[in-house]
Amino acid sequence: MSIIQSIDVKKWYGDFQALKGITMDVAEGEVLVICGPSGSGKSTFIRCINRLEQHQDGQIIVDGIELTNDLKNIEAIRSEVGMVFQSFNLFPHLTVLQNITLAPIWVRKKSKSEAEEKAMELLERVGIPEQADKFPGQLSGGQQQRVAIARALAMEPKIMLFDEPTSALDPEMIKEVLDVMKELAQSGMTMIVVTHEMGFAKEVADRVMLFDEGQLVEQNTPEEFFNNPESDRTKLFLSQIL
Amino acid sequence: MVDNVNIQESPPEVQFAGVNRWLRENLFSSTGSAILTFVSIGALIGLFRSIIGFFISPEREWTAITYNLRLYMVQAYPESDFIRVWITIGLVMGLLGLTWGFNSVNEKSSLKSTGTTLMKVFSSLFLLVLIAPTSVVIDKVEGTVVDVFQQELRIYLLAVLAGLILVSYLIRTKLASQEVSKDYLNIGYVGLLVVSIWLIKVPTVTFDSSNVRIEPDPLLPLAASTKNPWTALYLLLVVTFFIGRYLNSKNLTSFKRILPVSWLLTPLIVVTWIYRKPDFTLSQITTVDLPVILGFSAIGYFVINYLNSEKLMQYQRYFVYGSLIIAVFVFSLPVLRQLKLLFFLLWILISVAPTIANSKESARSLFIVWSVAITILILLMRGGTSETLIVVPGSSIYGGFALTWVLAFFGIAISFPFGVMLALGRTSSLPIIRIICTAIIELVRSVPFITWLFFGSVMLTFFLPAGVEFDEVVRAVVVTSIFSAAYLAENVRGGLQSISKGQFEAADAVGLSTLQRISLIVMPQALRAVIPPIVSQVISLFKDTSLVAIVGLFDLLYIGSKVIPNQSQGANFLGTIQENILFCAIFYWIFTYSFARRSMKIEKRLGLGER
Repeated sequence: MSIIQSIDVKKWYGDFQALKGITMDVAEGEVLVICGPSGSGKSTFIRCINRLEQHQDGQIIVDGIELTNDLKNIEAIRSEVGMVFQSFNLFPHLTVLQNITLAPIWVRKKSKSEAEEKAMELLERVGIPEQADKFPGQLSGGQQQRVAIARALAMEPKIMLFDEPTSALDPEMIKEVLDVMKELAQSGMTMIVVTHEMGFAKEVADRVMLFDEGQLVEQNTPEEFFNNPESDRTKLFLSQIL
Repeated sequence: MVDNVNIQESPPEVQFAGVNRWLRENLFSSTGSAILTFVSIGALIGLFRSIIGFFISPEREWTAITYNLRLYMVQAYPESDFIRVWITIGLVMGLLGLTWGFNSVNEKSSLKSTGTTLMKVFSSLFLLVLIAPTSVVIDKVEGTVVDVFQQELRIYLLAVLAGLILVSYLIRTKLASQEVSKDYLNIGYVGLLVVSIWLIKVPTVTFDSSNVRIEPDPLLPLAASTKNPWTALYLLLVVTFFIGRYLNSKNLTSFKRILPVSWLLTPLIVVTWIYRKPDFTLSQITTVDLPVILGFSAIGYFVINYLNSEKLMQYQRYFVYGSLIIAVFVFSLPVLRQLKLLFFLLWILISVAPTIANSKESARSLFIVWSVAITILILLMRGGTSETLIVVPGSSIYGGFALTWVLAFFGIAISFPFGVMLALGRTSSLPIIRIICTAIIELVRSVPFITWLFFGSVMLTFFLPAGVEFDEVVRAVVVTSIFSAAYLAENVRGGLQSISKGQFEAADAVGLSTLQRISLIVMPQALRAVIPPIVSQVISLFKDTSLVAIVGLFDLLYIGSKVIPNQSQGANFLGTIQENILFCAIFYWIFTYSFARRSMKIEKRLGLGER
């Protein structure tokens, strides 16, 4: 049973076509890694999945709901899909705890104490419970990204989207974020990860995809993808990145 | 390869080592800077000597101010109605005390900093007394010199101040480790002010039985006729402070929500109680107002508790549109104005109830807030729309500082939400709203304030339906707030632009609605970023209120520059313009400067989360 279905999705920025008909689907519990050179449309595509970008043609169906301009559908899907950004995007005027409890309280209508209890659990899970009362500006990049993951998880999403979560981090901090993501993958979460961390892809992914120039070039299991790439484009990409 | 080098932690180098070093580094670091230091110290001493000389010269007629303080404050407001002003101020004081006490975090402050502050104040006074001139030249042509400051008095004052400096030094050194609550300290400071209006005596004009001025002027306390009410208000503040703290310790969440609502409604109480003396009748209240209040409380209860349920949630938007249509329909009917307003409020309640009342507890507090708010609002509208019983000779009930204050306060209070809405409208993605807001802002900004004041005074009546007529003060308030809102909107828009796209996306990604995104994520950050320009705008609005004199209103500055210097009867203050203008300047300065200081503190506190 696929939880995300994408059928011939196309998107233009002005005259530039960013997505040239993406057809794919993601099964429940699957961990999918998308890689590709910059400008290949991989970020645009996962941002279409929770409607931060609008696709102009084709269909995206998330958890049985098709993404259209209907606000109700969009809000329903956004509370099912958590997203982690490259630049963290924590709310700087709120403490770590408030960052995490905000959406559960206002969108899920949870009581404050319930939301805080859950938030502390999540902070425990990402390994920084002692930072709960600090402001994002007082944390390191890796810690901020872990808070961002906890913030997304607080909505109890069915799907997690990661948009280059480690690209803005120091090498030392990448590991702490990847560890959290690995743990999350092992817990059975459906994940789509746009990343250049090939180590992560080899170890955790169920499937790896390569995007280039707005097209889905190749998809395969990590063993096949890295060891026996089919297309020349993939071979070139792998030779450059590894 | 570096082996284990034993690195020892060393204490930071001491930055401040003695007065000598400080002087050398900051004032006499080179020959040039030493010369500059001496020259500027000399210039400062000369400047202060002449300023002090101006103040204590026998030519100055300071009684023009002490005698006219009431004129300055309330102009012609009838004395028999003063009690209502005091009650209103009392209400504000009480609310202030409750809020202060309720939000008190019991911060401690060491006596060392208090001692330092006191020492600074007393030392400055000591220096001023020391450099004050003994005599001043009265007639510049003839060179007449008059002794104004006896040597004995100077020595006496210096001795007293030296004693006070010593006391504060002792506080600073001996009691440095003692800690006191900051709240108590502030209560103490305000208390000192209250004590000083009993103790400090100034010359005033008094007349004997045959209506002849008594010379020399007898000394009376600074606030001779108002010291009793001020003292009572101070006691009220202290008492409500402790009540507020007690309530806080009881952890009453509903009280937390009632406080802001009460603050929002206070201006309306001020309007009906000072501005109007309403013609209340008991029968109107029991037969019309009470049923309306009860009815709408019941509707509010229903909305909050049932309309909000899971099952009806999906129809929420229909309720919102439906209630808006009903509100507009009721508005066009010839019914009570109260009803018209209530239906609009009901529409707002239906729109926000699902967002605010998300648990049983918050539903209950929302209901309390709703009932309290509509009760007060209905009674106020009853008061505001009935005939006023205050009789004032002249055009306006307000004058003097009361007018300045009303214009500034309402100008800010109305322009703030209006300006924020204009800013949001101008950045909106809906083209019609964006064009309307841009047009309003650009139109208002491109015409001078004085022109708008004339417009409000002369032409506004043409644009209003027949029979509707506003008082001159109301018109000035409307013009001031619209003018200020346009500028505020641009400031806020600057703040909105400083919010990165990522913040919007993050808010969307966690599923916040547009309204929640604006109120929880965007606005708090945008407003924080533009505190400095908003503060300077508030300050300039406060000062710009003096322009209303041009449409015939008697504000503080007009009284000081035109009214008092022309008083020829009784005490005769003809030509006392210098004293009066100086007084006005100091008065404005005290308010604007304390406001600026306050906002600096707020800025610091809000800045905590950033960076």
